[in-house]
Amino acid sequence: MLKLNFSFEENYLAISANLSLESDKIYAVIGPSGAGKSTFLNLISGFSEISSGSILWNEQEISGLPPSKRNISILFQDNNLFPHLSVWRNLALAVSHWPKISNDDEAKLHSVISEVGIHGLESRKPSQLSGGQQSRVALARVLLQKNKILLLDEPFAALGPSLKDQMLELIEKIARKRGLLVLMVTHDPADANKIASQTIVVKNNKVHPPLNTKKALDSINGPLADYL
Amino acid sequence: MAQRTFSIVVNCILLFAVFGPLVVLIFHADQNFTFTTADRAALKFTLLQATLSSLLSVLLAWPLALALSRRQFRGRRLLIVALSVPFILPVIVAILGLLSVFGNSGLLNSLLSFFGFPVFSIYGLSGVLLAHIFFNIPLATRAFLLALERRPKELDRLADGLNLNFLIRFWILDWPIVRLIAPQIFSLIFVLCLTSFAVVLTLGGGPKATTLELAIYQSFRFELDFGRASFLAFIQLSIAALTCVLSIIIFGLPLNFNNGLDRPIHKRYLRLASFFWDFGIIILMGLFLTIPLISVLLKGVQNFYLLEITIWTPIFNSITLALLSALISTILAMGFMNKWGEVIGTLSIAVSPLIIGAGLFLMIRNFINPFEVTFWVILTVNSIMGLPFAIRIMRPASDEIISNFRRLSIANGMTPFAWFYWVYLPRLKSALTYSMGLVAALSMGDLGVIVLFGGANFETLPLVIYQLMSAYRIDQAMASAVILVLISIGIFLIFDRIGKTRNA
Repeated sequence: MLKLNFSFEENYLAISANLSLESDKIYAVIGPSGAGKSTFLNLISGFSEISSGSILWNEQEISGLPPSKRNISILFQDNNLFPHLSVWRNLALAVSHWPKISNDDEAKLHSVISEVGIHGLESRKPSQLSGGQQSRVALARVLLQKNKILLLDEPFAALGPSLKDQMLELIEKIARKRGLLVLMVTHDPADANKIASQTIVVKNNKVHPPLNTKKALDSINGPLADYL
Repeated sequence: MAQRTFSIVVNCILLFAVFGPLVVLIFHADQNFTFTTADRAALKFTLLQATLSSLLSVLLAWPLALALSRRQFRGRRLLIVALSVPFILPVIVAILGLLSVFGNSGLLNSLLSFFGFPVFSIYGLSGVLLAHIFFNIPLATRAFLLALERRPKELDRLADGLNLNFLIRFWILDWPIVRLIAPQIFSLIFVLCLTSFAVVLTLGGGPKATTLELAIYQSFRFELDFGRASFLAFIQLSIAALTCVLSIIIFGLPLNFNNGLDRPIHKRYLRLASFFWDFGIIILMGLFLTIPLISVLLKGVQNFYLLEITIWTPIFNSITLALLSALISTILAMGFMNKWGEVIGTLSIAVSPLIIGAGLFLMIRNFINPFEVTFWVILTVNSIMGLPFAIRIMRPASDEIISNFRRLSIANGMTPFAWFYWVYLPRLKSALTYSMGLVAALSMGDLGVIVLFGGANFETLPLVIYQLMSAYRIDQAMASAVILVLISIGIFLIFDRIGKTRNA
């Protein structure tokens, strides 16, 4: 259970949140641009710090901890891979910072590589991969961290519709298998409909508690009627 | 955190190495010092040559930049690349080149006397100006060119469409650029010429053509009058610092001239007269900038047989100095990847290497005989002098790495060491090697503090060339100059190559 009860103010942006999220569900995060969706994810993951309140993961306070200690993985809009390092090294860095990695870690890498389906690409650089392959490698990287919360800040926005759908299906499959809590920022209601049963609306400086996705996206009576 | 600590350490080292000598110097300044006629003459000549050099450079660079910006021809790119050569060219080599063209028995005077004209003397004001504009026209041209190429091309088309005559065209299109760039360039060149040493040492001198910098050197080295030297240094420093500060206040921080200049230009209809004018300028300036170099290279190669075996030691010394100071400058620069770096980078051109060297001398002479540690003194000065270049080259790259990859590294839970090893260093590699190549080339060709300290105990290649020149062994000097150019450019290119290889 992830309990969020905080407020945040910055020069041009203020948001507050008071909601609880279940540990093994996929939530879509949707709202007008500039409303603070990315900031919301940054606050949970620790790249920005909340102004007041608390973030509890299984009753433990995680706000104030550095991002790598929060049991949270995040995929950004871009720069999810180091372009000068091979796929293998990009993945290895998620488990060890030494040039040589242990046999155990190597086994972990192999298993996640087959999980996301990027076999045979290990020695390539990111620039030698297609957009879809890059997304898979980035996903493999966060899966290696074995964190229970996965935040997606529109990492697949640059993919074509069918590739994006493939990635969403993969995310859904993996999240179910591993019991992950997923928060997925999106502009596209179709994404939310596809894999998220619950949707969090960010609007008017407020992160609203999750609603049933159908209700949240109701274009006539829903909270986002004017946006959609 | 680690980066912060490193930054603080570097700041302290630099404070000690730069401000230490300056403070010592100021304390040494003779309180009862009175300006002699000679000092007044030196001050006057310094200001005169610096003003004229910057004025001429700017005035000559403008038509060249304009011509280059509106003409497309084969070799244009090469010419623009060549404009950055004088920057890493050892000063002493350029001087030899100018001597071989404009010297007493040079090309120009052979022609002049053949046609019965009076002979042109390169020594004194005219020679100093000639050398200064040789070095600074390319700099000013690049600055103008950069501004011209940033100007929206639509403006040119608009002016063509309105069929403006050339005066109105200049007033509407070009004047705003000149007004913005020319004062910045002028003040930059002014400060560079204010503290110029090797040029005045070789082409100036005598009561009529001595600058403050040269007077400092002379009273330090020959008269051992440290009080006078320090006082003159203080005056020079004040003028240079004042110019820097004033120009920053009035014109803002100088633009960065490192960017590429190879964008294609669009075709324009131009009058025939301006065609001849433009190519006349390009050819004339091209000849002025290349003939001296070609001449020194040709004569040098012909005289290779004059080289003596003793040249190996200075070669070795110079390469060692160049590589070490490149390494030190670049490492220190990594501690200055912040706003401070920009400020220090700009202000440091006001401090001449000679002054730092002199200050260091006074600082350490109570503990050790400075002439026994010449190598270390010169290494220190060269490293400090290379620092602003290293900072300016690496800062943009460093900022970009941090903004693109810091988050990902934090998400990976990387330690500062892992970040440095896996991300920062490999991504900085090309800027880093470029910086090292440039500082190494500059240090390789440096003829400043070495003249103050060097001698039988420690010699560098530029010093040897200068000594050969002073002994009128010009042919041997030119042969050695070829070696110097080859090594300088060779080191620069090797670093450039290392930077361009892909990472494993």
